[in-house]
Amino acid sequence: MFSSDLKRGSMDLFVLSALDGRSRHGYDIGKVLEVRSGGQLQLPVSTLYSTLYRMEDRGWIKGRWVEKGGERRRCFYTLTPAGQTALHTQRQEWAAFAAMVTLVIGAGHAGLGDVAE
Amino acid sequence: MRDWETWLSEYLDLPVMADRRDRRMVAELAAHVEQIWQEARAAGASDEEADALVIARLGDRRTAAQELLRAERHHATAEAIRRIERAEDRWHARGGVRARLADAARELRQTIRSISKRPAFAATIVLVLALGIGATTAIFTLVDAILLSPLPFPESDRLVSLSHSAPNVGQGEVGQCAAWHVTYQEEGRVFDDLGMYAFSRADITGDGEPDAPRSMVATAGVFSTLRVQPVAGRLLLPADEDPGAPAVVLLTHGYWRARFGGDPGVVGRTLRVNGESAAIVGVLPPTLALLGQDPAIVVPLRYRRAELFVGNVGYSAVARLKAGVTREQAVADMARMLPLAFEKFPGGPVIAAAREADYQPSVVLLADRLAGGVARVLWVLLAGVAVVLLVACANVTNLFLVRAEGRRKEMAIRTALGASRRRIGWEYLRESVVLGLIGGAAGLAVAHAGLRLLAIRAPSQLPRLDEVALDPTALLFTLALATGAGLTSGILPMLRQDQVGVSETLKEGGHSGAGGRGRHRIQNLLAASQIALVFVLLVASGLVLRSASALWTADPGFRDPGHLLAVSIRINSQSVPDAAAAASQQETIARHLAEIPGVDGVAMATSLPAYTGGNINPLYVEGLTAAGTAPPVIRRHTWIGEGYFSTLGIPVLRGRALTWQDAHDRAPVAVVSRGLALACWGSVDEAIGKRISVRPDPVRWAEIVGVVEDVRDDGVNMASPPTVYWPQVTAAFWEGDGTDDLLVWRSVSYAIRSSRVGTPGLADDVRRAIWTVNPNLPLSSVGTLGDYLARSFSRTTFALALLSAAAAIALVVGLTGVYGVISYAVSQRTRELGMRLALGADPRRLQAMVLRQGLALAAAGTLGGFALALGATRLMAGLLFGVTPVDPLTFGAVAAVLAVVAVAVALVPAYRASRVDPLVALGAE
Repeated sequence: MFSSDLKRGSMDLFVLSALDGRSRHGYDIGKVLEVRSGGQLQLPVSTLYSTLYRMEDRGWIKGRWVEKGGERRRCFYTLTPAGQTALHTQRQEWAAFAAMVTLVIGAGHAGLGDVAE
Repeated sequence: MRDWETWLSEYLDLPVMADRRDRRMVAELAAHVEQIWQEARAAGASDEEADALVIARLGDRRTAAQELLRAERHHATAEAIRRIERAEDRWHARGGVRARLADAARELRQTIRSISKRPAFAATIVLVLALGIGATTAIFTLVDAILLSPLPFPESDRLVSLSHSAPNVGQGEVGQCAAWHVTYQEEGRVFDDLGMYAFSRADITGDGEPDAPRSMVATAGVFSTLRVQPVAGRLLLPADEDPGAPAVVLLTHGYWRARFGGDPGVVGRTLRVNGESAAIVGVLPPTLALLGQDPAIVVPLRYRRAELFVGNVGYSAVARLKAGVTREQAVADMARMLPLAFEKFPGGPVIAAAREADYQPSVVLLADRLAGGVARVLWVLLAGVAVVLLVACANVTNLFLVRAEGRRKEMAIRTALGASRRRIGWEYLRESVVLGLIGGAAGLAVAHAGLRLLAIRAPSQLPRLDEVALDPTALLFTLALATGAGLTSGILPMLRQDQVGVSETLKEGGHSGAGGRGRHRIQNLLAASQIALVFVLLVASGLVLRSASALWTADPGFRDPGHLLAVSIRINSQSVPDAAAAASQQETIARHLAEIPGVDGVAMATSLPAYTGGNINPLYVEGLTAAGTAPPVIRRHTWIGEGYFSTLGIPVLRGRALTWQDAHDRAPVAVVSRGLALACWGSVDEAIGKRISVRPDPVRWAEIVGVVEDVRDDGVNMASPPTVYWPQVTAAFWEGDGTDDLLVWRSVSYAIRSSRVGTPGLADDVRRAIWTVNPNLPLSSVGTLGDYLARSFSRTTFALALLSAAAAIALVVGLTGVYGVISYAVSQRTRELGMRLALGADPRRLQAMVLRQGLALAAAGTLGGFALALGATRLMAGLLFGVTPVDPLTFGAVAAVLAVVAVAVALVPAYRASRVDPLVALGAE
């Protein structure tokens, strides 16, 4: 599928976007990413959690224990204001980067014609 | 239901988690995998299939564990920093000193973060500084313990060593004689106390194998002067000096521990010393070993006042000056008393010679005397390592300059944004000081390792080595060095930061253009200074190397000392009272030794070259120095048996050697060394048949029957002393007039020449041969003359090893510096070089250009080093042998070597310069 480098480089953005708008626990985040990617994104459990912890250390997300009747205690993660900003910036960067990459490699823009050698 | 937390911890082999956050991690993971498992089961999978899915989702178990633990470590650091930040904030809020402390802590943290961002840069600086600081600390510690710190005796600055010299008769420093000792004691006004001592050997017999350890004969005054206290029993008393008093002996601390296991009950027991039963009255403290020679026992020095005469000046003297008395005053008082000694003791065999000699007193601090020639070696070494430290500092300064250059743009932007230049400058200084301190800490480790190595390898002349340790003084010294090194390396970049104009830097676009020249000048200067300092060190070690090789190849005057086994015996007058019988035993032993298979020859003498000290006394030469005409010359005297010259390989130049028959006949004959023959008669031929005497009145002439080649008796680095060789037995030598007044030395040494030297059997055969003649004879000083000879230049070898190590470190550090400067210059000129290449420049010419830069640095450095070395090497004149401090060969060779390595070091950047890709270079920025 995708090279692990490519995935690793985008991990922060993946996790931030999964938390955009609502808090989720770790398993839920993994599930969301898997579903949204059509099953292409199945993260090793350790990668997911080490990313979460790193982002929490950076102050982008905050974990909070929630106990629901009859269920196991789960830690729910929520975006902090800093996390919101980071998500926003990274989204913009990514969009710009993707547009540039597409421009450079020429895919889907055949209509512009080849650049004369 | 499975306990997923336990399962997970075991599966991933996670350490026991103590922190709350750590436990949360395991709990979360457990919940996660549990959910995976349950969902799989709900979808119809078997237990095994669900397990397999969990394991698959965990991925490689080692990678997973590492990933999680890394996140945890990161968390711990982040947490710690947060805690520190919170503390800083709290302190800051309180204002005053605390706020300032908080600021300092924050700055320190920023500095450490800034350093840790460039680990290679930091590691290089720490390594370079650690080498410089470590080497300097190690040698400083030696200097401090051996030369600077006071001797471990009360008020040791008042302790002096007394000696005398007679320049009129070509007599260098001699010690003390009993007549002077008594005179100083009775007439002196400057001494609180004084003592006299000498080293010898004693035979200890009785229980077990006979032993012949070093012994010290001393007056009671030695101990009261030093103010030492006994470990057990008592020390010597003036009453013990009376020849009629019962025999007593003191044990030194080392011997007491070694032979008696440190048993305090030993006081009161008896020991057979030199055939006489002596009561052990006390045990000395370990500090006494400092007087040198490391004796095992101390016996009282005894004399009858009525028999004393001025002469026999072989004793050492120690005295305690009265409070406030200077050494000059002491010398003056001694000079006043020397003539009094002749009035008090007007007799004696050498009185005329002593009067003629006109002895001059001299007083040196005991500490200086004990440090001896080692002091010069240590000071030279300290200077050497200080040079290493200077090279290291210059190198680090350059590294900082280069880095500051690399950050100019960043700094310019920060300045433009409002950061004050001074503040940025301070950042550089803080970084260099912090790195200096880290370098200092690493330097301590280097120093510790270095000192341990030294303790194993140091020559025996290095006194007080057991006192050498990294003490608080050394720690303070290192701290000062480290701070100093950090400050000096950071101050230049800081000052430069102040001068950098913001707009120019930004306009330049960071290119190395015109503005570079001025900045590079400092870097070039620093690189050239490093070369200069390296030059000095290389010359110093080159000179010592030349000295060492001169010593190794110098002709000691006798042949193949490695195949000469030396052994000493003493036939005491208790076991063999008759002198003639003792002489006969000595001869028989020589003959027995010669019969051992594989032995090619045996030399017997009162002293052997490089092995034992010789006898020094006046000599009268007929027609030249006969009584009344001129003062006698003071010469070395050696009494020898048959085969002495042939065994040692000393050529007989004229006439004949001495024989056993000469000894049997008590023949008035002698052999002299070439140096003595030349000095007295101008030629070797003239000497034969001339007459000499050791006594003026009544004179007893002996005829010279042979002349032999000079021997470097005192070690190859010393001049050959003019020597007279006498037959083993002489009659009416200094005293008496009949043929029955025999002079026979009871301590003699044998040198046994054999190809078996070094094989274990020979020493046993030698012992057996000696003990068949007299089973009570202890043997001492068994070893080859080669070993003893090597000791005479162990100091040079020691200096050579340490100076070479210092020079090697400096060379590596210095060359790294040169490499750094050239290679940085090339990288800064990438654009220019690329342009030149694009315009068709010959790559080889570019290479040559870079190489020329290397050569120019080497040339400038060498020139500076030359001037420095001319001054510096003079300080080591006393260390050198067979080479002048301005030896052209050494200077030339070092200059050539430096030129070659400088070019070699420039080769890599030169190659890079010629391979610059014009396209890349022009697009580079």
